[in-house]
Amino acid sequence: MAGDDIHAMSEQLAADPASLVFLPLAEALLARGDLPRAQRVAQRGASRHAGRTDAHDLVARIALAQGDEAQAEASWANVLQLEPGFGTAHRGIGLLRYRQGRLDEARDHLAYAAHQDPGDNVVRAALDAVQKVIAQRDAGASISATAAAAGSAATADSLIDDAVASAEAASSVASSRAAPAAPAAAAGEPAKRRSEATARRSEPGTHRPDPTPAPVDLPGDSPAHLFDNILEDSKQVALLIDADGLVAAGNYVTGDGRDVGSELGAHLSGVGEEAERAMRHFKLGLWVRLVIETEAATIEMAPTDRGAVLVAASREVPLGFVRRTLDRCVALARRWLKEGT
Amino acid sequence: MSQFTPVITAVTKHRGVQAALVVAEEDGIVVDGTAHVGVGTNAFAALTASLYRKASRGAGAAGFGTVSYFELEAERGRVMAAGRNGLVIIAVAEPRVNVGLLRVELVRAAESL
Amino acid sequence: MIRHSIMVGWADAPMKRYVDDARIQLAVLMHPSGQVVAQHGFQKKLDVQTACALSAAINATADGLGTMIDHAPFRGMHYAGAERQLHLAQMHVGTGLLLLLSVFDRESSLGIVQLYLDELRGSLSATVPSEEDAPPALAEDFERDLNSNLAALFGKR
Repeated sequence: MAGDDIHAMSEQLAADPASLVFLPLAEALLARGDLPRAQRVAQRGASRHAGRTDAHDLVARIALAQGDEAQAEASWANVLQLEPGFGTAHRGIGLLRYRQGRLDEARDHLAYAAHQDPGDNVVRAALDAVQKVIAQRDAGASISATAAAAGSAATADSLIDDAVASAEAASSVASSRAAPAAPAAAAGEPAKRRSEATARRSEPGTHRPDPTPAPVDLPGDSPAHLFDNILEDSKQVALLIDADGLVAAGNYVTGDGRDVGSELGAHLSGVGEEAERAMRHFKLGLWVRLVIETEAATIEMAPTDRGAVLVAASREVPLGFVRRTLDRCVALARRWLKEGT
Repeated sequence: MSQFTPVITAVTKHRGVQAALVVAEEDGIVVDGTAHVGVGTNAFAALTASLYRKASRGAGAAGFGTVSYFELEAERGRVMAAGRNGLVIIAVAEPRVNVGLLRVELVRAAESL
Repeated sequence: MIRHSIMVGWADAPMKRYVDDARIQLAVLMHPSGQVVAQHGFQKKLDVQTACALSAAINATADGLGTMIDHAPFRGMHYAGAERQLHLAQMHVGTGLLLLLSVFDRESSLGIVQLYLDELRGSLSATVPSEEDAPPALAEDFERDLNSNLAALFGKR
């Protein structure tokens, strides 16, 4: 856009600050690479027109161009609160989720964006790349699989970088069509679980590989007894808790016959949510395990894609054994969840 | 120098420890501590104390008694805490830290709080 | 100075994030005069106005007491009750001053509130609107900067 046009629009905006000319003005400044001014124009416009999705989308795209992923995510979250089906927001959040290592969420958002705009080849390529990495991840945690995944991840990274670069100038989404339910993306919602954290911990240099493959644990004959084959008589209990703190599998029945699993799950799922909140400030990556030692028990928790696995053990059970039990229960829970039993 | 200097010193001498803080459990405010440059002590103090409190309430409600030790392990480090008498001693550590040794140190340090 | 007749709603989003992150039960952002900018959690408008009036008075009192005792105004206040706590903070936003009253229970703590207050200050500073009587309605320095830089860029004065 010619400099005369930018000048004319800036004068128009100065004369009428409520004018929507801030949108093309900020787009023009963005296209010229004048990011600080583009952001100032866009943010003031978005604060005046807080109900406009295109205004918040513009703030997000400029923030992304500036490398401010937190602002980009917050602005796209605003967009989706106003219009849950806004495709560009799903595109942007999908890319951010990939960068954050939250592959399943990245896939969901990119899939939605691809559905909204089948002609967006960048989204399609990014979605294909993410799905390949997910497939490699789910194929197992062996070193060879991880090494293969690293190759796929590198390809995905370059595709995602290209997608981010093109997202800076993405146009508004095409008119909405009948679409599957849009994934929620509000910043602050409990994070979906990330088995890729486990995969990353298996990378060479961070974990000593076990040359003897561990036997695969078999699930119990019902959800309530899912972990029985692992627990046996080891004075431990295990629960799979969903994102709402409800018990999805496992059970905890006391000696006098009371089922306290629901209560335990509800109380401790809140600790997982607190951990999510804390990690945003700790800058230590994703949380992978939580340990609570009390007078009567050792409790360990680990996140899954959509909740957490909790193991509670009597204090006489060695800590390392509790950890091993948790690892096995998490692996079993992830397999079981995919089976949809 | 404060009354907590010896326990803080004992914790920080472990390799991989980036910060050692004594924090008021209810307020999440730092009472005393030391940290490497760039470590956000206020955030670690407030949020770890909050986690410790939440874990205490949850474990207590579930009938497991009081919490003596808490640990949050993440991809690039961990936060470990042990509490007593309304105070919590917190260590922020890199992945390379000897977890078993540091845990023992923290539990021992908490007994002196 | 932040003028009183500012655009409605500019502080709503930052306040919502602050309330959610810090697990605040009641919060009201106001001018030192007591005029409401944004609020969360109050059930009645009269309660908001009362809270604002009292908070403004507390702030003015603390200001005066601090100057008298310590030769510098007291900034902020924290009260820990049996079940709930109260925190009153001064927030320098843009070129003006606002007060923030927060009420919280055991789900939060003073340390958490202080942590997220810093974030809120940043968010408010990023979204605060310009003064309404500065011609033009964009911040005067912004408009001057933009026009002079664009003029320099395209060789016009």
